[in-house]
Amino acid sequence: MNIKNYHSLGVLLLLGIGGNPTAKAQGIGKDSSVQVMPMSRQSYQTPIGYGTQPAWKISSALSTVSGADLQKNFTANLASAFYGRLPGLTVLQNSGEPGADSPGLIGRGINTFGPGRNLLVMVDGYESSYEQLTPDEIESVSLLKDASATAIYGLRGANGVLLITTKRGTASPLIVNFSTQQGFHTAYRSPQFLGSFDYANLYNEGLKNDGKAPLYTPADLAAYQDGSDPFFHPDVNWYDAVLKKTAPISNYNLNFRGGNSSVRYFVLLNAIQSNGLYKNAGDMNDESINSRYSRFNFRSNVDINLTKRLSASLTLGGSVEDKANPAGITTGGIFNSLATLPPNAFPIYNKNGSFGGTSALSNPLANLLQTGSYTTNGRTLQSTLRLTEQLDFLAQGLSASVAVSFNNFFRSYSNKTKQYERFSTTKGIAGDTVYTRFGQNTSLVGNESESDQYRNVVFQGFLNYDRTFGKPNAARHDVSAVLMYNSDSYTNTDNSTTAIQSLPYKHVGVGGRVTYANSSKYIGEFSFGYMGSEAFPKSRRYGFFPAASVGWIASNEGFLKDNTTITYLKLRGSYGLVGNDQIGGSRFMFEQRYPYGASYFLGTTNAQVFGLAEGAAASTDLRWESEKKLNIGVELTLAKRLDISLDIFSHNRYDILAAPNRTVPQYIGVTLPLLNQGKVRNNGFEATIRYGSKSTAQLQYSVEASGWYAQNEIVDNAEAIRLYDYQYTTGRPIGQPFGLEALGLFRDQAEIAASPRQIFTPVQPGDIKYKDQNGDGIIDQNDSAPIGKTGVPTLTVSLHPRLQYRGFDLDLLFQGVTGTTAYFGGSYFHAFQNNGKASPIALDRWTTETAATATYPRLSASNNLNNYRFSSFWQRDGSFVKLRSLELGYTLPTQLVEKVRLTTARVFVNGTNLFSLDRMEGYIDPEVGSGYPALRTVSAGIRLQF
Amino acid sequence: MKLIIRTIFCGLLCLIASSCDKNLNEFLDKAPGVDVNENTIFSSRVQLETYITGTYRIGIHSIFTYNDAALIPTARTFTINAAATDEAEAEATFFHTEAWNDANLTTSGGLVASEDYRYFIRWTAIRNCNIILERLNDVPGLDEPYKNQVTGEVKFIRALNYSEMLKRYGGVPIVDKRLDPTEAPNVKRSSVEEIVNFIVKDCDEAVSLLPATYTSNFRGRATKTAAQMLKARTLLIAASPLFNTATPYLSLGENNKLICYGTADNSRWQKAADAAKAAIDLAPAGGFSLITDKGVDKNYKFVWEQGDNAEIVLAEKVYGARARQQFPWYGTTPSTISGAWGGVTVLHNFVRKYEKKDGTPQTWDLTAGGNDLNRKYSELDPRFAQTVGHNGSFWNRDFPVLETFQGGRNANGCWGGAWMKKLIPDVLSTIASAVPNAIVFRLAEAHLSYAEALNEAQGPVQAAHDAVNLIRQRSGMPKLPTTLTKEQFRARVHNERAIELAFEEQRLWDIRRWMIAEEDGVMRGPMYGLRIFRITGSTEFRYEPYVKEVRTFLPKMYLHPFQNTEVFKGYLVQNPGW
Repeated sequence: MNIKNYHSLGVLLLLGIGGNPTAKAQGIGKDSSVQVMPMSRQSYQTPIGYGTQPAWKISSALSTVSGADLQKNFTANLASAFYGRLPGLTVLQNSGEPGADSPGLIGRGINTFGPGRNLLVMVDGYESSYEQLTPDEIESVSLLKDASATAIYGLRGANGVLLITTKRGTASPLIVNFSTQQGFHTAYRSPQFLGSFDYANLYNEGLKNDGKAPLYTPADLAAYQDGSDPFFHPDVNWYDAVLKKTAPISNYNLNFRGGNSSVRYFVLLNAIQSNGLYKNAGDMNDESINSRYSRFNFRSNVDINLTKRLSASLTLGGSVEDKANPAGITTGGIFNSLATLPPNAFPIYNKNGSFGGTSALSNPLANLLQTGSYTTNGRTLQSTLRLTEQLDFLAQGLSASVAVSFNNFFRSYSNKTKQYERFSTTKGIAGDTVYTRFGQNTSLVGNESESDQYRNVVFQGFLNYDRTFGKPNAARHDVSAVLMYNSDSYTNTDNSTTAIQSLPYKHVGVGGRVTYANSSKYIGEFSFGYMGSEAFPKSRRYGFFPAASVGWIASNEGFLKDNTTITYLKLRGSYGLVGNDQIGGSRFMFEQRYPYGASYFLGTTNAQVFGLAEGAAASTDLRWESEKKLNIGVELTLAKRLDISLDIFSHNRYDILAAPNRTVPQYIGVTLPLLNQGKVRNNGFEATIRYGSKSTAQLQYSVEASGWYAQNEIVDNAEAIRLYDYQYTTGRPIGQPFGLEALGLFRDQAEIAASPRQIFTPVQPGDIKYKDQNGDGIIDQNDSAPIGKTGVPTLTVSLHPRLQYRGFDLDLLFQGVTGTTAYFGGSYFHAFQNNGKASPIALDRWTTETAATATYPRLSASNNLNNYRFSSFWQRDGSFVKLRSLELGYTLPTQLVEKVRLTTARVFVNGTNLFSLDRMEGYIDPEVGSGYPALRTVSAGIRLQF
Repeated sequence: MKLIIRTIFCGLLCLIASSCDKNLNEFLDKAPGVDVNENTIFSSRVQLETYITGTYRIGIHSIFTYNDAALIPTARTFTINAAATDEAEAEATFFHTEAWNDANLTTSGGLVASEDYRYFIRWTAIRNCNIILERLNDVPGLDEPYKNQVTGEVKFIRALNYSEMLKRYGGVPIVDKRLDPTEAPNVKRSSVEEIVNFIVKDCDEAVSLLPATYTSNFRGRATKTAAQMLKARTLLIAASPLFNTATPYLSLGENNKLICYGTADNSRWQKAADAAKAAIDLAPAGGFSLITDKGVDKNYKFVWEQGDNAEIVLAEKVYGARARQQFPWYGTTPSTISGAWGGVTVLHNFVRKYEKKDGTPQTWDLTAGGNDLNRKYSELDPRFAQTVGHNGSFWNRDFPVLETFQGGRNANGCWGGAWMKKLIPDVLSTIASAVPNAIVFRLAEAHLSYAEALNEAQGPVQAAHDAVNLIRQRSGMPKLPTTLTKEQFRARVHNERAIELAFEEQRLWDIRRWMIAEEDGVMRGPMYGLRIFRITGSTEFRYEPYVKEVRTFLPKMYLHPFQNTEVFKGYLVQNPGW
């Protein structure tokens, strides 16, 4: 990447709206910050693979968001700021837990049924951990989507590439930015469960339905209802007992940016702390710890012109993160017991102050307070040195550079555990309380070790050429080219890594790109990657991945030159081949390995003798996955105010690993090898419309609406021949759920008698009736058919209105998805299953009285094998619209702030994940259905610039 | 300063250049020595031995069942096959044997329901054998006797696995070399005759190559006698009515030879008899002999309880000591004893097979029952008490007295009125203390096979009598009457085989090869259990027979179904009726 490109990076800020003080500091007018300026946008230096290009010259497909936009989501995880911001990027929320809330990122849908679906994420050109970065240090994030943009990444580009570019210094006087943001989280839709009275009533009903006698007497029920006997008839809301309503989050940022003709720098310090929703265990007890996540970031990006021709560029970024958790490594166990433990099982505290509990059930609050803590300390380091030499003396526009980069992530843990005693109580004969102890108090014991680490070392060399021939108003020839060499070696280990897993993963190869533009009208580009990996057999390690693209800027042609309606029109198309070397299977599976221990006892004393067994048959011709990508795009601006862009793509992935289950007989006698034979087709589009106010208006606004869609289909996965056509996964989307199709609830015995026999357990009225797919009169696993849609949405939409009036600014981002199915499963929805409790959804159960209106099957106090199977009964449309961020700011008048020697000062309030409109009937978040809840964050902050 | 920077610049360039120079392939090569590949295995005798050990683990069949994913990667059965026959009924209702009792086997129900959960690893064992045969000569420094021994061992293991398939499926594809999965080989089923000949050929070679015996630390590896016994068992299967016929149990049209010989030839019995006799004759040199010195009421139990006793020619030895809450006991001991899934409860149909000590049949009142259960039990063949854990009998130290009477401690799930005690040693407890004695071949079988085959070939000649009587007398039972006709002798020797080899995974296959499954009370029709009651003021117990269940057997069940997933691949002819 040429240093000089950084000079123009400031233009990027045009993409952001006011509120970023640096934009103003660089003399970019207040008005222009919101105005749509097509030509300015077209000259913006967009990051592409190993370089940048002015936007007009780009003939490939990519989308970009500025770091300023990412600041609108207040979160400790960078990826959680990506929702709805990058057309083509599907972001899947997993959990709200601070420090464990990494969302899934998918570029242009899923293209393989193999395990390797991850984007390649490059931070400043090098693979590195990125979720620890803070938005303030980010210049832009780009998603490279088509073959032309990703071919240079060779074996690694097929799933798309996410380029994260950090800020660098500018040749301008020192600018100091300070900001702080303070807020709090609340759980969004924390599960609600029925209290003891309702629970006991429904439980009795379930027992009755099962043909058993009731467990709770009228006296018990009365005690639950009036709460008169809290120790023997408790009514505990365990969620409230363990979780707080709110937890604070705060961020502090200080950065310096500036420089002159010889040295430019960007220096940043950032601190963030986000506390968990658990009760403050550490405040109540010495043996536990408060749940929190804190991180310090630092960055020092320095560019130095050493001589007239030689420049150096140093990138140094790092973070230190601490995560503390009461009660062990995962929170899954705690949330599991919160969601299952009946409200009347035992009181939190017994009458004598001891913890309640039984032999089988532990006390969730005590688990939090009395079982120790788990803390991790993670460190990331990203460091790159690059030297660039201008070789104009050889050829005008030629430069060479070399770079070495070291990126590291290391995490260690400290686990302190102890046990505690709990007591179950019974009433003695004399009415006294008899305590039975389970468990015992022990002292804290600890162990500390490495939990995981990642490191890579990359060497790169570049030859860059960039030159324009011809005069500005005559025929112009823009030629740019890059030829690069790359070798990387990375190691990824944790404390369970085997010798073979700890061997470094390596790539080595060359890549290149030639771009030619004629008179700013016709653009042609050819790029390629030639890359090898240690993952493939020696004779076929290297792959060649070429791609070509063309573009035509029609609005620069004579016939459109003075058109006032069509102010910008560009057509582009690309086609090429890319690879994916994350293919699954085991390492070095091209060799026949004997990895399994198969010992046998020999001799009259039965001594164990070590033996070995053959592993899966070697995949001797192992290759990577390849994909042919076609992309057609249009960019159109009407009357300088309405921007429209559309990209349509068609991906054909092939050589996906699959075992030849359809053909190879079992008499082969070995686990079938994985062969490169699977095929997946994936088509879709991205569309964006943006409308902005006139540049002279006092009220500045813009509205941007985007939608992106991807639908895949398994063309061939070599699956075994099935008995019925509906059982095939071939021809269906990857991850298609298969289950029984529910037809409703049985009305009466007559209907049961007239229906196919459901073999799982004898059914009775109020049970779920299933469809006999194969018509054999029996409902069994063979009737499992495709039901619902996959967990990955096919369509994501976003709506991004912004406005600015005098000092006020408002920015909203709505994100919505559709084409996905959610499942009402687990203890929250399946009443009394696996000794669980019941939630309000069970109130709509089937009874003989409510038979006509019931929406929930009849209750069963034991595990019901018919009703709680995976079936369409429990599926819901997973579509939703969420308000991902809302920010309202006020920039203080300049005259005012100058008095205190500030350049700008802005105060703002922010809301992140404020609400969701969906089909979950109010029970759960559509994405986070169990475990640590999704979070809503409300905050206020101030940004100052000196 | 400039100089330093330029030096760094050039240094980095050189670094890149040198790494380009230094053969990029080398950069991508795997570090040596981190895993075992095939060439490692065949590099030395020590490495080869690990692979042979692994082949034993996979290749030796067991009379037990282990729910162990490391052993069998696919789903496993939980109990032995006894409950699929008139020997027993399973306590737990979800065991695979229920599918047999209800004739619910299907071509898509999976290999567990059809009991053949080893289907896949059997082919793996055969592959292992073929790989060893292919590459044995690549191992440097092996002496001839060792090479002969290894060749004999893998031929024996290959033959054993084919023999196990023969009795289940009839003819199957013959795979005698390693096949490459990427070449989509297409091997069809061979005829029964070809399979039998293939097994016999491997056995003959194994007998000639294997040692007669090993040092005690190698006990468990194949010997001459084991290979000869395998040959005898295979020829007995081949000579029996299921295969030794012109017309099979159900027609497969032009493919009839896949499921039978296509001719009936009585001389096949003589071959079976000769093979059994040869095994008996080889035994002394291998140190094998019938156990006769523990007492007539103890010999039998000693044989099945004591591992590596002289009568055992080959045992499967996948496991060391196990506890009662572990497999194989988890699906074979009563839930009231092991806390496990359930035991094997002996049906009255089977108890009725035990003669009285004087060699005459016991009389049981099947309608009214009787008040003399203890007396009836005490009159039976001594092997009864060494096989069946009946009401009032000793189980082990943890449960000295079995109570199977109504309301008794061990009555829950005891459908037959008694529990299988055989296979469950007295030392079994909650700690891992009992080594499963998984008999593959024991000498008594050779004598019984000899008697059976000789009678079919020549009639009840003296040698046939002698062979049966040897087995009867060592357990205190009188000789068979000398006046028996060929048919009577057949009935007695069939019964003797049922008693002597009870619960050793022989009964299901014997029933099928004799084609008696459809006879009343064998695998079809009413299965009786006993309800046992205390008699107030007496130590005696009352028994009341009742029909536990009525079983179904369809003729197609004389051979297993191949699973649809395999048939759909197009190379297999499915067995008839499926």
